[in-house]
Formats: sequence, C-alpha cells, structure tokens
Amino acid sequence: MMAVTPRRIEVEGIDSRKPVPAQLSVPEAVLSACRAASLHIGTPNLTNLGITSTLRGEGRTTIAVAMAAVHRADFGRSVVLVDLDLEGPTLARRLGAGPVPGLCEVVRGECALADVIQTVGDGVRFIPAGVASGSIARTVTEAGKLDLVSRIEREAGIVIADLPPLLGSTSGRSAAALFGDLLLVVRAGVTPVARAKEATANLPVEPSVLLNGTESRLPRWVKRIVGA
Amino acid sequence: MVRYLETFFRYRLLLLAPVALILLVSGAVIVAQPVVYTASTRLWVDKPVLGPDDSNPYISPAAQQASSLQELTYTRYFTVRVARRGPLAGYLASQPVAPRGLSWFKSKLLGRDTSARRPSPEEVDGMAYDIVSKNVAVYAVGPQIVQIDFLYGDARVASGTAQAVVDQFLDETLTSRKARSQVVSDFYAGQVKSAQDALAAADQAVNQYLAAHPELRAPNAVPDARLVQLQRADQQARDSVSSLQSKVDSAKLDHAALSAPGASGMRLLDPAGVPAQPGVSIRLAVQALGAGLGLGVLVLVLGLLALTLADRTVRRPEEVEHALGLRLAGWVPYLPPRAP
Repeated sequence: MMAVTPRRIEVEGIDSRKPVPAQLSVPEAVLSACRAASLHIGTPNLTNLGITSTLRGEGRTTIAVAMAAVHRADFGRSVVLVDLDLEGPTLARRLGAGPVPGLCEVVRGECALADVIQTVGDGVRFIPAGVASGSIARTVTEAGKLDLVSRIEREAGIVIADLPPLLGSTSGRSAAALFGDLLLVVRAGVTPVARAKEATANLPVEPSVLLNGTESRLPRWVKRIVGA
Repeated sequence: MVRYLETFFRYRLLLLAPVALILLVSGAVIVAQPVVYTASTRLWVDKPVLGPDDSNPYISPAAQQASSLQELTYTRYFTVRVARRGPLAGYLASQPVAPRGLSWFKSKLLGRDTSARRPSPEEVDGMAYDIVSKNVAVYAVGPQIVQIDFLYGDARVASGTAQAVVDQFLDETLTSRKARSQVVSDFYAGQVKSAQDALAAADQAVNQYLAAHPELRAPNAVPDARLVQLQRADQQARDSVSSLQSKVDSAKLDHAALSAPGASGMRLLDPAGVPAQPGVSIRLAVQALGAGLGLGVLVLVLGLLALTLADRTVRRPEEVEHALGLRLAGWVPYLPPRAP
C-alpha cells in the first residue's frame, strides 16, 4: 500500500487545505494514492489531466473523482470535472448532478459552455457528458476543434476529465489526445499487459500509470524472508 | 520468485487441493490393501570355522549372509524350492485363479473360458517366484544376527514360508560348502596319485642304479654323485606324497565335519511363529505415500508454473515499468467491496 502522508502543498496563489466536498467522498486509501500520483505527475504545473484506462471497469471514474478531491482539498485548486465518456457517462449520477445539458450540447451549439457547468461542491464544478446524437467519435473530434479543454481551463485551476477507455470505445484515443497529461488506470491482476500496451501505443502523450487494486497475498513471515 | 510465491498464496487452495486429494487416494490405497501377516525368524551367524576364511573382513558376517540370502530370493531356483519346502506351493495350488486384466480381455476376445480354475504346477512356480522374491525382506539386525521377514495374507503360510526360507538357505549354504570341500578333496587326491607315481619312478631309478653298481650296496661304501642325486630325488618325491596326503586327509576331515549339526556356521535363534495380528506392509505404505507425495508435488509445481505463466497481467507496482514501459505514478491498494 502506498503510505503517503497527506502534505500541505504550498503553491503560489493557491489556498490549500480545503474540506473535501461531500459529493467527492472516496476512501482515504484512494485519496492517498491520488495525492502521491499528483505529486509524481507534477501538480503545480498541471492544468488538465485526462483519466483513462485500457478497458471499462478499471476504476477510472473513482480515480477522477479522487483526483478532483485531492486537487481541491490538498492543493486548494479550483477544479472542473468533465465527463468525456460520452458512450457510458456515469459521473453525473456519481456526483448527484444533472446529466444534461452537457458537453454534447455545447459541441452541437445548443448551449454555451457557461450554461452546462454545474457546481457540485466548494471549488469543484462539473460538466456532464450530455446526450450524444450521431457519431460519438465525431462529437469528440468536434470538441477538439472547438478547443473546449482550453476554454474550460480558463474557468478553473485544473480540468480533470473522466475519459472513455482507450480500447473499449470508439472515442478513447481522440479524447485522450485532447489532454496534455494522462493518467492510465490499470486494474491489478485484471488488465492484460498486451492490451494495455496496445492501448497506449502511439498515444500523443505518454501516460503515467496508476495501478488500481494491488493486493499482496504473501503472509508477513514470507515477506520478511523474501524482503518483499 | 515473488511472483511465484504470490501465485501460490493467491491460489493456495486450488494448488493444495490436488496434493491433498492425491495423498488421500494414497491413504485409501493403503487402507484398501488386503491384510498381511509378517512372520519373522532370526539366525545367528558365526565366522566360518571350517575351510578357508575367504570372507570380507570389513563386512559383518550377518551382513554378508543377509546379502547372500537376499540375492538367492531373487532366483527362481531358490524361491521354487522354498515354496515347495513350505506350505506356499500347496496353498497356491489349492486356490482357484481366474484371468484378470489383460489376460481376461484376451481370453474373452479369443472366446476362451474365463472362469476360475486351479493353477498348473508351472503357474504355481511362477506365482511362488513372484511372491517370495517380493515379500521376503532380509537384513542384518546386528553384526551376527540376520532377520528374515515374510509377508503374506495367510498367517500359517507366512510362518511356514519364513521357516522354509531359513531352512532352504541353511541347506544351500551347507551344500555349497560340501561341494567346495569335495572339490578340494578330489583335487588333492589327484595330486597324491601323480606324486605317488613320481615316487615309484624315483624308487625304481635308485634300485636300478644299485643293481648296476653292486659295490655301492656295501655298508661302508662311499656313494657316488649320481646315486646321491637319485636318492635326493627319491626323498623329495616321498616328501611331496606325504604333504599332499596330509592335505587330502584334512579335506576329507572338513567334508566329514560338514555333516555335523551347526556346520553351516549359522543356527536358528528364533523360529518363525504364526503371527497373531495382521499389519500394514510398511514398504507398501512408504511406497504409496512417497508416490502420492511425489505426484502431488509435481502437480503443485506444474499448476504453479501454469498459473504464473498464464497470468499476463500486472499485479505489483514493481512490475509496471518493466511490463508496460510506462512510468508508475502510484498505486491504490485493493479495497474490499462495501456492504450495501
């Protein structure tokens, strides 16, 4: 287990140690891991972070929520959470927010960006996926053309997006290409290495990996002997 | 290494279940075996007192005799004699046998009778050879005591056969020594005959020379060189006959002594009694458990290898960079699902 003590991060212009909004409640162990991962990726310079995975069900959404909570509570940053998984959006329900209007409506020009941003807690806002019509891949491409990520960045200190999986969806790669930093969630003991390699091959940004659900079954005495 | 250990502890029930199952089957095989009776006899072995002592000085007399007896039990000659001397051959001849396994299948295929019938004398000999060669255990329990165990399903047959093994062995030892003694005696007897012929020739040569030179017969006559030479040759032939005759006498004495009781250099200390309690064959139990354990460990190792090599996922943070070629940012421990 990653034993990282929550640290007070002092970044200029950032008010740290805010309470975690209730909607963003995740287990402390996940928060600890996300704190460490954020520091590893480089929190002060981070303006956007896409959370992706190889396949569905690897814990992407939970990590996205935890990252938002860490960036808000520990680093005092204003966070916008974006649900870019247009094929299977779950973030709205998870946060208790409205599912529409969202990103799809903005891309189609039915709403302005400011109209789809919902506040889910102190310093944490959320943009739902909305309702896609037509090709999802095309919607994501259009979002790129509209430079939506940069526009959202102007609304907050950091944009954290729950992206579709790289292999389990039609828009995974194009959605990942919109972000400058990527965090690949890999489910320990589940995600095949070959599939993960296939998913990350030729991505414009090399993602960092967050291994989710690690568990050692070695008894303590064995760990002592083998030094594991 | 850690990966294999992780796999073992992750699937420990799955991996250990076959081992436990195989050991259970081994135990069941032992329990399902028919009861066996062990009849034992003990022999006292002396160092040979008759004839030449050509034994190995670094091995105890008991170990030497145990080795000889064990070797004999692997011969058809000895086992058949043991079976006929004891009750085994009669017991086997009285038990009807039916073809089993491949023989049964072959008989069925050829349309032959597959019902039980009494075995022929050749079949009895074959069965006796199989039984005696497998069920006799001979070992030295001390420097001069040899123990012979015989295992069989019938207590009286076990006892009688154990005794027959000992009796046959004593007979074989004695017969062998008698034969050797006879050979020695015959050899020296032949040598004596040749020596006697040589002596007669030497005597004749001396007499002929004296007949040709009568002046040498006078009591105060000085013998010439030729006569001295002939007399010496005659004396040598006489000595040789005398020496060989003493060897013949010694060999005949040895041969005669071998007919006396206890001449084999061994005597029976504990005759084979009829065992009262059946027991489990220790050898069978060790073999079954050893085979079960060996097979179980093999299955475990193969299972462990298969499960580890088939696991194409990343399980530990240390594996991420090597397996995926990507930077590890962190890891989240496994959290059990929360109760609803």
